[in-house]
Amino acid sequence: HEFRRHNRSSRWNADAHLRAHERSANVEDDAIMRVDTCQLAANNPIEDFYSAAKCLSSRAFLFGVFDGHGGQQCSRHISTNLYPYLCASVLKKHEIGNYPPDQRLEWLFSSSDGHLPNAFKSRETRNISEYHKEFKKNANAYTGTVREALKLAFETCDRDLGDNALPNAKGVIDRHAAMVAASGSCCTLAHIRSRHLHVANLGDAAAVLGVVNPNGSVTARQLSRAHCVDNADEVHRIRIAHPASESQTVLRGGRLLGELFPLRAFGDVRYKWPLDLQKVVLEPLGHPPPQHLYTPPYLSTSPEVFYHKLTPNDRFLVLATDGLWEWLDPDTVVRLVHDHTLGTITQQPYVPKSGTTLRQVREQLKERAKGEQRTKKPIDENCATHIIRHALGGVSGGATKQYERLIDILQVVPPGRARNYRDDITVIVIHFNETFLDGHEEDEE
Amino acid sequence: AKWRLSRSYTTAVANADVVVCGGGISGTSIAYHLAKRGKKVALVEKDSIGCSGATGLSAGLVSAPIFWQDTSLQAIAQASLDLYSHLAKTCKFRYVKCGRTYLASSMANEILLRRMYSRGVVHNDKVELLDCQSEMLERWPFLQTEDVQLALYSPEDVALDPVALCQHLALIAKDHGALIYESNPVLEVHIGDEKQVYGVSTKMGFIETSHFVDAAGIWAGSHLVKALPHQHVQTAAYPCTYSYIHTSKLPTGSVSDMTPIFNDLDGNIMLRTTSFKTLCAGFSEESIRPLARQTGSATPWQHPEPDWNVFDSNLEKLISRCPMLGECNHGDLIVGMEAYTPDKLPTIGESSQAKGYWVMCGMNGQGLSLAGGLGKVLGELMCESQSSTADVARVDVGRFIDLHANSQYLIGRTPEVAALTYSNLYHSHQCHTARNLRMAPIYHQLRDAGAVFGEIMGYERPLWFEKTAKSERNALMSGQDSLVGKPDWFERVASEYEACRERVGLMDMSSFSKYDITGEDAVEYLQFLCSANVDEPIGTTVYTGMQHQKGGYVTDCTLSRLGDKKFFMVAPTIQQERVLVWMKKWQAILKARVHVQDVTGAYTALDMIGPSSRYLMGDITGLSMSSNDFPTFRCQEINIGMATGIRAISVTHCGELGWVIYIPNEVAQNVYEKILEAGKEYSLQHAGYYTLRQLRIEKFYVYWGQDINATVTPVECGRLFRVDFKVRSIFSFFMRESGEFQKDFIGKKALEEQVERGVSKRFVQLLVDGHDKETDPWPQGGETILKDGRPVGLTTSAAYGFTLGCQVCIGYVENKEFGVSPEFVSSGHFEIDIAGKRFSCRLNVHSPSLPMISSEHPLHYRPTQ
Repeated sequence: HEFRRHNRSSRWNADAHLRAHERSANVEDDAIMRVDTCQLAANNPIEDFYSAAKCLSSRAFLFGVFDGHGGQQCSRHISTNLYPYLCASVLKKHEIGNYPPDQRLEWLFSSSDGHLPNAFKSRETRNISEYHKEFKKNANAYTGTVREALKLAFETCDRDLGDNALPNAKGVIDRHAAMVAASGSCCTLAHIRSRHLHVANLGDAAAVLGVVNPNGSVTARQLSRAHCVDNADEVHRIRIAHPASESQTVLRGGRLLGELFPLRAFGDVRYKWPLDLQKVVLEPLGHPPPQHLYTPPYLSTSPEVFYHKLTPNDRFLVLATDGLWEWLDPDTVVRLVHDHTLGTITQQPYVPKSGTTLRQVREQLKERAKGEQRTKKPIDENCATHIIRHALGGVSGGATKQYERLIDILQVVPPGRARNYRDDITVIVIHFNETFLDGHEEDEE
Repeated sequence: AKWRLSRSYTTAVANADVVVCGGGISGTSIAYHLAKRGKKVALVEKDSIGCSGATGLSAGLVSAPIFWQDTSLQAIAQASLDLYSHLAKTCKFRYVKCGRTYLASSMANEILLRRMYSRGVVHNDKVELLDCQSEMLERWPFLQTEDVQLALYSPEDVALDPVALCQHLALIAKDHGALIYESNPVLEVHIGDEKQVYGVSTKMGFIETSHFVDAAGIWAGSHLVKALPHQHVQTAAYPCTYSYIHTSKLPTGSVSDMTPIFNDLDGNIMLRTTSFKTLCAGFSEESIRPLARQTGSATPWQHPEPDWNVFDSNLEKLISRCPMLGECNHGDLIVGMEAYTPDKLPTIGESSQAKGYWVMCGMNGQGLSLAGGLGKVLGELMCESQSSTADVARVDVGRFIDLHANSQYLIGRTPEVAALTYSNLYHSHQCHTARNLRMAPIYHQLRDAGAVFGEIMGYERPLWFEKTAKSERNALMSGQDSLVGKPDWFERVASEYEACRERVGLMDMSSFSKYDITGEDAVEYLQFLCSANVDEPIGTTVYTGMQHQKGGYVTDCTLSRLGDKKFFMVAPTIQQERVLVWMKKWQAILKARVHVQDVTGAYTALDMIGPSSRYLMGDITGLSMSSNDFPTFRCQEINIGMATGIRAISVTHCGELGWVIYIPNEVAQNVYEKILEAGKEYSLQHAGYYTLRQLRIEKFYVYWGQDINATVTPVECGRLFRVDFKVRSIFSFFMRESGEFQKDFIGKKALEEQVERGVSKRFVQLLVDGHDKETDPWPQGGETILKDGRPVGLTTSAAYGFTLGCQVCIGYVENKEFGVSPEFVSSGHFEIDIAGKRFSCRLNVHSPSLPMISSEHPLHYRPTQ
């Protein structure tokens, strides 16, 4: 280990490892300036996905991170298939141009490939156009709010995902569709139309807005709430949805039915379908139903939607899966992003160790100042990579210490066992266009 | 408002004459003073007395009065010290009269200390000046004093326990019947009809009261007042951080509790070292941060994280001044918070936004030194409407206008103010932050003409004009004039002065406060407010004072009668809010049918000063400006070129011949260019405010706020000839108190008594002899006047008299026992003490006659007679 740590090439390796899946896009369209993403796998294959797209019909940008569990099929599926539903849910008042529902989506990027088997693809197209008709008929949703439209899209996407797994007219079960339905996915999705930001959230990923204060510092504003047992509202919601007799079993050990950590998710039909349906479709594929399944569904697919109107003080939005939030709190993340934009290396505030004299304090401060000058430029160009580097390498102790930790985490731990130490991490940083947000507001509804 | 009371609050838990919010030094001090005066006080503190705010975090150091240049603040600080030392005799709390040592290592600060020393001697303190390094080393061996030029030891400074002090003040207030509610935040201040406070909701319940004192420190102005446009009273105070280190005792036997506090003026650091701890603070501007304005009194005090990085520059200076400090443990870096104001002076008085809503806030890091006395002053204001302890003009809420309460303005300004906590500021001091806020339409032309700007009430006015000005220069003056030798501007002002005396000078006077007063009762209303007779023919301008009941000046002003019931009033710049409040107050009491409108921002005022102004005015207006057609003290609405609606008044505010023209802003550039063009023929020259200052002081022209204020009457300042004691035409105002129609102007009785009795104070002009303007310290105002070696008064302002060829000061001489008779002034040997150096003076009681090379002089105008 000692050898590896001091080897320059291992630093290079660590950098390469961190940057392997980074991506950056200069969008420069409406409120969006640039998007940085990065991903670091712990599972093999990775269960996190992300994607970004633009809806041509509403000129809304869609950014999402999808944290899969019980396999990567569901998160992969959702990361590509949710967006057509969202594009088909454009409110009447936001519709621009005459795009058919299946031609409204313009991909920016996605971590999964969107190629599906042909049969699958045509079914999806059919689902979308049916959904679009349904949406237009649903006068409430069509003329209502973005919040309602997002909810409907999420719920319908999940319903269709489940329906795909049902046996067809000939009684044949599509194995792939069943795998998608059996695995699950959390999702945090940002919908940005002009200055209007909606964050729809399912599960334990999170969205954090970086807001600059008049004195130049930056504060974090959380735009999502994790759906897990720490959230008292969620616990209450689930408890009142089921009979009192189940109060001991519905949440056990901090998990839904003692198994599932997130309390809202796509897929996971084991917590949604009735027992007899599961016996027919899932059990033959090796997915036994959970214990104490009395009054399904237990798991909701209705997202919690936060709205925020962007102001010139809102500088960036960070979407990240829970893999990141295990390491860093939102305040540190926004500080990292802010310092990265300023081009300075992030350091924890100096705190003298006990026993230090004031003269030594001065010497140490001088030493730090020198170090800051040397390494003033951040190592990574990509802001999301910068965050992951600090998540794993720590935010204190300077570059040497950070590399030591990174090398330990990325290379010393054998690949298969990484999952025991950390989760997959996915980060999207959306930088806003200050000039646009500062600009004159056009008359809107 | 009654029905609202009964509906929302079935029972009031208490009622009180005054509810005081805040249990820090401000709140307990005002509660103490009011309770002692017999008022029923309820003190409401959201946490516990003395502990929860800036007072609890403070180091407990009290500055002696000699620190302040301003006499009012000296009086306030003296009252604080008197109160604390009195308490220390009867109550038990830590009170150490350890004194304070100021260190200066630059010429500027050396003079500053010498001036402080002169003040100290008058207070009869045992103040010491040390200029020998080896003596300093002997007394304070733990200091590095090699570079110290001068040290001043002020023995009256005190270190005390601030928390115990507050608790004792509260206890005594309680003994006098005050109700003390701790853990009881104020939730809302209720105002009813005519914006009068009628009660305060607190966590414990509703307290019925007609007076609320907001002494909430950094939370001041954050209380909910639903009926106001911003839902709270806007105050010009803003919270900022300051930092200090609390560490162990210095490793030496030569420190004790009696070791003085050290203030290094050049390093801007402070050190308090005792036999059990060391406190060291630094006030570098970059280490001070403005905080978010506190949104509600119920929100907890969020301590900002200490930042060693920004404190480092202070620490460097501390260790180099006291090398031994380097061996101390790092201790705790404490970030305190305090409310600061734009001018480093505290704020007391009744807010104009709600009746009965009083404030006492913005202590600027000197809360302990000032709050004791301010409580006394505010008590006097609340009970007697005038203070006998000190003139309140400099600390009163009325000195601020809306812009001063703007958060963005305060965020810009307050860190600079916080950095100046232990700096002594003089009249000429200018801040470098939050500038260029209010500007005349011709600002850029003036800038291009070489103007160097100084700020007053947020307004940038030219102080003087550079000869060759580069366009990329910083045109904003910051810092202050040096206290010794000729200031930078001397030659330029000499040239501008010459232009104003012999040719014509052009001066921007737009900052002056301007009002339109119209309405059915305008004449009678003004006759009641003013001590001069204003019922003169249309087209006349009257210079008058507005007196309060005791005869002192609320303000002076010129009133120009534009119509039968229409007056245009011009008052000093700093009076913009205060005078308006005074006039509206009386309008409401008299139920007078008048409309008073502040039009300060609507006009650009240009002052054309000098003998050639008559021809210049004639050229641009096409009218005859002869002394028959447009004599002095006249006003007329005129046209200049294409521009109309210009008000011309033949008063220059400095005693020279000339006109001030008030130009509607939209045509100001046009008129300005026209004047410049026409002025070429007369060698017109731009002049700045400093020139006006030299002109007016040489002419013995007193200015409100600098020379005269609410404590000075026309009798004392030689303006009795401006007062008209004749019984005026019948007044239509019925006074409820006296039960009769009002026939006298406000303060008439007091003035008559004073004329009868004679005065004990008299304003004089002092011509300083034997002063070398190149090497001697310059007078700034605030110098001691001595008669036959005994102090008899203070100067109030000073300038260089270019015609008289010497330094000229305005000041007062006082003889409290026997009064100031003509013999008192004409006999004896008068001197003034400038920074420890004495100069012989000649005294004038009347304006001098100033010879001119060129022709014309306006009938030898003598403002002081």
